Amino acid sequence: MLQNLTQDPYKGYLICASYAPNFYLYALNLIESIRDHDPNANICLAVSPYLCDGRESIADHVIHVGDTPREKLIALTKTPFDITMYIDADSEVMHDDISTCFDQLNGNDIVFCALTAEREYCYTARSFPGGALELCGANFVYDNRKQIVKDFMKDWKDYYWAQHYNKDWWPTNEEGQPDYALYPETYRQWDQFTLWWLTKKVDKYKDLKFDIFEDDARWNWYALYIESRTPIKDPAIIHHHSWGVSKYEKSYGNIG
Amino acid sequence: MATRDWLPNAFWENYTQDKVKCVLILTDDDGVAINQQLTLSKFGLDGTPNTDFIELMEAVGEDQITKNTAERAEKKTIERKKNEQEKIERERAKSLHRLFEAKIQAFEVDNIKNSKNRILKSKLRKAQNLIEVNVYSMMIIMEEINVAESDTGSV
Repeated sequence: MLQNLTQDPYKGYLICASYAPNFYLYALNLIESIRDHDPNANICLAVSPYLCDGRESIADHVIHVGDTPREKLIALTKTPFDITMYIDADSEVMHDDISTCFDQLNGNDIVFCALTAEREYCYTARSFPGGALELCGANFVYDNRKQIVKDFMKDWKDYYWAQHYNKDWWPTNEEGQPDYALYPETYRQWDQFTLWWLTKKVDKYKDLKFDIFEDDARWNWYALYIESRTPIKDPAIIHHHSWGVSKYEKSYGNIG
Repeated sequence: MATRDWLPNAFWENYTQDKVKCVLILTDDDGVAINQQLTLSKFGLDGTPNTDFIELMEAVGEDQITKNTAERAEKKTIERKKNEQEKIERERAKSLHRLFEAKIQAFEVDNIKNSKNRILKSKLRKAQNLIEVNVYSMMIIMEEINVAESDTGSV
């Protein structure tokens, strides 16, 4: 397929608020924080219609999505931008460098932040017998002009729906049964697992060019990071990771 | 043949060096080994020398035990400082989360939600602590009230 990569691409930020009303409020706050630091930003909000109260119009584009917690995967396939910076709604932009996020793509198809062993102390899940999640699906840039990227985003959504909602796909063992020894069933809930599977195990995407943000912790700074373990480096995006707080509380006590 | 082996990592339990923590490995005639963690006193309750203690001193040596004790104390100090530092940082992380939720709540107050003052709203969004959240919230609310009063002609 002929792909026009030479003309100025339309760049913008994609945010998704679905399922829970607080994510709509987080998304509005995130949009305003983007505009604080990148006043000319193009922003698309994908939102469950029942969450809307009129304030969604602060986005340049509004896409309606369903009501599951993972509508982001559908939103990714519907981005109006050529180059999209997807940001999880429960985040805030903290630095003017945000406008340079698109440059990080640097010829790649997708650029992610990393999930590393050093930062595992504040992740909900990372390692399992069959491997370890390495790419973070929270904030990333992708070039949607490329067919392989379009296919990837569609497969991310389709595989995830099959693994979690329909439960008709999961890696199988030699007996053809779901391989819960290598890939624990608890990982069904994670779209990060789907991301890992597609990038590691699916031949179709062996040529997908993906990389990690330079100084990637800056671009997805978990509010739960402990400075002595993960030194602060002028965060561009702070991620409040509202659904991860429970694990943190379990380990370190209630937030109260 | 049954054996008794003392691990070399024994350390003093007190500064007077008459009580020691150690591990004894007992191996029976069939080669089955059992680890025993022991606290040995130099003397028994009746004041007589403890033969296990004497055996440990001969096997490991007082100097080695003193060295182990110093190394262990240093390691514990470093661990304690690290834990204290992490506790402070965890509190900071929790505060950050509380601050975020407070800002989200502030932006739901009608007068703030409806305010068109981007500068003050931006300052509220960038507030570094709850006091700043309260101050900027108050400023926005006051401005909105003043605008409403001037629109209705009241003083």
